[in-house]
Amino acid sequence: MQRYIVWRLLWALPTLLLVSMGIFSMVRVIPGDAITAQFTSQGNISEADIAKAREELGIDRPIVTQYFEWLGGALQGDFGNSLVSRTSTTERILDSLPVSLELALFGIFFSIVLSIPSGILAGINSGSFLDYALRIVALLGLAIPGFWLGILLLVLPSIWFGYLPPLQHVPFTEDPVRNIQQFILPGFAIGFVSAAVLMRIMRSSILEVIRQDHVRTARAKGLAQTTIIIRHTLKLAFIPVATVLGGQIANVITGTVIVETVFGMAGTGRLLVQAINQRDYPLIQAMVMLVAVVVLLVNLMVDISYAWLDPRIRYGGK
Amino acid sequence: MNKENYWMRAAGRRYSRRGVLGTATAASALIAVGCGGDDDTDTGSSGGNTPASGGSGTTPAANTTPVSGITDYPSYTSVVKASEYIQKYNWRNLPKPVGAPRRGGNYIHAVGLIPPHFDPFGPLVNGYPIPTNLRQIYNQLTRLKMEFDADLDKAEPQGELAEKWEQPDATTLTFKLRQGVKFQDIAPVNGRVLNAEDVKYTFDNYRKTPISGYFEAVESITAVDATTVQLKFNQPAAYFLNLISGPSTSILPVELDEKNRRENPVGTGPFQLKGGEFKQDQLVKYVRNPAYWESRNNIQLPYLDSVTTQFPADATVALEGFRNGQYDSSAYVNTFSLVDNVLGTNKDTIIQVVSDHPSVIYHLALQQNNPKWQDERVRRALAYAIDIQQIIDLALEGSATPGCLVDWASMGFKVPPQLSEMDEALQKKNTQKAKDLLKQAGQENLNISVLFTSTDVRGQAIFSVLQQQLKEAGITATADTKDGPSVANAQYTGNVPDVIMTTQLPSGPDADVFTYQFMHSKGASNWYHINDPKMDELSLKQRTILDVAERQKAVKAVWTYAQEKMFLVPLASPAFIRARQPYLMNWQNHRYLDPLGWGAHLHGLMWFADNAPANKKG
Repeated sequence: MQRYIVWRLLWALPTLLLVSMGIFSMVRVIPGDAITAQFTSQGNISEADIAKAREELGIDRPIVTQYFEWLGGALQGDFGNSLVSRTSTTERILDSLPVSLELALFGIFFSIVLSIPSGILAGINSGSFLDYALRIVALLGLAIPGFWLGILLLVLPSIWFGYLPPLQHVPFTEDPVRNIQQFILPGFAIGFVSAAVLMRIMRSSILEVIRQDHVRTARAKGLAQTTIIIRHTLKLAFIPVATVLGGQIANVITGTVIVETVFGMAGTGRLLVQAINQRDYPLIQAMVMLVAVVVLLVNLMVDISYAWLDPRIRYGGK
Repeated sequence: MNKENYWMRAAGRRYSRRGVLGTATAASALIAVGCGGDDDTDTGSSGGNTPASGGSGTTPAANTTPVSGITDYPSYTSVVKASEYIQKYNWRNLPKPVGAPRRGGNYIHAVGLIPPHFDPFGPLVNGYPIPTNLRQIYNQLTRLKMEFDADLDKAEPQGELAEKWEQPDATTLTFKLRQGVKFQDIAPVNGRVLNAEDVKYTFDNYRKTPISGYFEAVESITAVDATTVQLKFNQPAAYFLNLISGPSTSILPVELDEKNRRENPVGTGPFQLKGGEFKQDQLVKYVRNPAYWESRNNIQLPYLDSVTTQFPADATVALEGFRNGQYDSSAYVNTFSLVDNVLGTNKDTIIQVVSDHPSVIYHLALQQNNPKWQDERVRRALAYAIDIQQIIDLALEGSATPGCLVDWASMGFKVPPQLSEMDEALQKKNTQKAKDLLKQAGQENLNISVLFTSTDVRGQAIFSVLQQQLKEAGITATADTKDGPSVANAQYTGNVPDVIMTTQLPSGPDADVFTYQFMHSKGASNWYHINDPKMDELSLKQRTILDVAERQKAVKAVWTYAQEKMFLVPLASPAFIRARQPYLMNWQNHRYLDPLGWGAHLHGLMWFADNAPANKKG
């Protein structure tokens, strides 16, 4: 197992290198840069001033020079300074990370709480009204874009009940109630969409497992339905769910980009949108690298979890 | 497959005829209710319903004629409403503040951007949102007079840190500073008294920034004594006092290095950052400067304890934040549909409508480095092909005025500027003349791509009307949409296939910004690469005329010539709509306050009425 993990981690390095090259070149293909982006709303600036500012920021140099300089810094943990605020990109990401992590946790929480029980219920009551009702809800989850659901969750309570979550972020340690108020709706918006996918996988997985020989044997022995489901079905049924869940966690983390913007939350997603709008290259690069690392790690953890879920699974040396 | 599934059981069930008919009738009724018109004119019952622009029984606007080729017309309801609203909510007709000013309160408002830093000497010195924010922390020598009882049509300079000024001759300007004004008690300045060296230091530094053009005629700056600063000019600079009264010339203490300027600003202004909060891209909170020098009626300013500027990132959040009272004023209730929406739930909301600043005009930029636009006849043909009033009525809910390059500040024009001041003929559509001019220029089948911002909803609406109008003159226009930075990049560099449609023009509280700086071949903001000897001569001339009436004539000559030459085609200036909570007093969000920040110092004069919610009053 250890050898497998080391092997996977080593394979992650060229992936990250390719990601870094891709993002580094792609953000520079977009017209405009950090200087012109700052003057989209208002301002007086001459071409000479623009050229001077570009020189100061070092974005007038050849892209290859810029890349290797950035890569050298990144290997030492220095992802450079923001072109707009001139502060460290690492600091800016760390400032916004708690909001995104908390939002992702809420999203994953809602995703699991909504999907697993409903998937199990739909699976064991296949063909019933309950099954169809749950599948319709799941279809809604697949069909409704997360941002639109977010807008509905924000606007309708505001108009109907005069309720709006606090718009100014309060850390959990400062005021837990206000903090939860702030995260519950966006967390639901993220979790609901993700739950729709998981619920369908959970249902089909349950259906597949309950038809297997060992479940039939358990039934023949006269075991109660609850015991059969909990002890002999769930763990096996979780294997495909775990695979999809891993992808969904990555989706939830990247899905915060839109929901954070809709709810005005100051997390990494919104930071990334801002960075793109401002053509803040170092910040975009650092954020994309962060997302890439998270996705790679989540996938690795999912693969490792297979062995726990099904002891028959063994990993090769390569 | 499970043969006994729900749908098969349902399909196999017997249904009574009465049941089927009953269900069908109920469904039909529901559909009819759902699709039927809304007869309820009381928007208060459901603020969430944005009033539709359609509806029967309304009178079409008199001057609005259909555009051939457009089949989906608005019903003109909104146009009629817009003119009513513009009158009703005109800043001149706003309710006056009620009750005596009181100290205390935490004002929170939502704006489109948070400053990345606070450095007045950086490249953003004149770019939104820096000036609006700097004006909380810093003072200037002079400011534009725009308090509630001021004549906002004039926007005259008045002293701020300068107690008075004199102009002994055409090339000398002497400022006398207020005595005893202290900087905020923050290291490294630690509350010391402002002196003339600070002013000299500050102005010298501005000469290295994008507003260096303000100071190009300044020969020398001398600190004569602790409270006297003298400026010598190499030629009369009629524009200078107006320009430094804008929001970009904050006076800094000599002690601030770059890091301090960016992160730890220390000024003499009504609010300070220390004790407040700054979160990049999220919010900035300023708190009262306890040693602020200014007072009204023996009450020390500012009245408010704090001013918090939040960037909601999303218009829906901003709108709902205002509706629920989390924001005290909003720049996001910016269309008449949204006005109706908010008034539906919050009847006491104060709405205000003004014309926008002349630097915010939808126009077609005809870059002169593009061979296509070097023939004057083609430029004029484009202008003749366009019906501006129709664009306003069809694309902008009627909530706009015809655009023209008139800067009224200090120029004696009423707001909005009257078109009779300009060459009206060019503002009116004349398709035949457009065709004739194109024929003469050998461009009878002109094809143009119009670049504009993809997220600009108004721009998209304008383009759809514009496209049809141009088609009538034989001009084929195609849309080319990109994001904001890409469009700005094209505008500044001139690297654009044909034409840009944008609102952005240079900004500044003097006509020089729209004449010399914008249209002189060596102007700092000559984005459209204008190189016309007569324009150079005219725009240079207005700079040196100190007599206001004479200068107005010279400026008018520049604008008239610009209209003739049509270096850009002005389209429309959208109405500037803003909303505030009824308990916020002396809130003056007229055209100067936001987003340009010309009146941002007025935050120091706002207060919360006694009936404000307890959490607001502080």
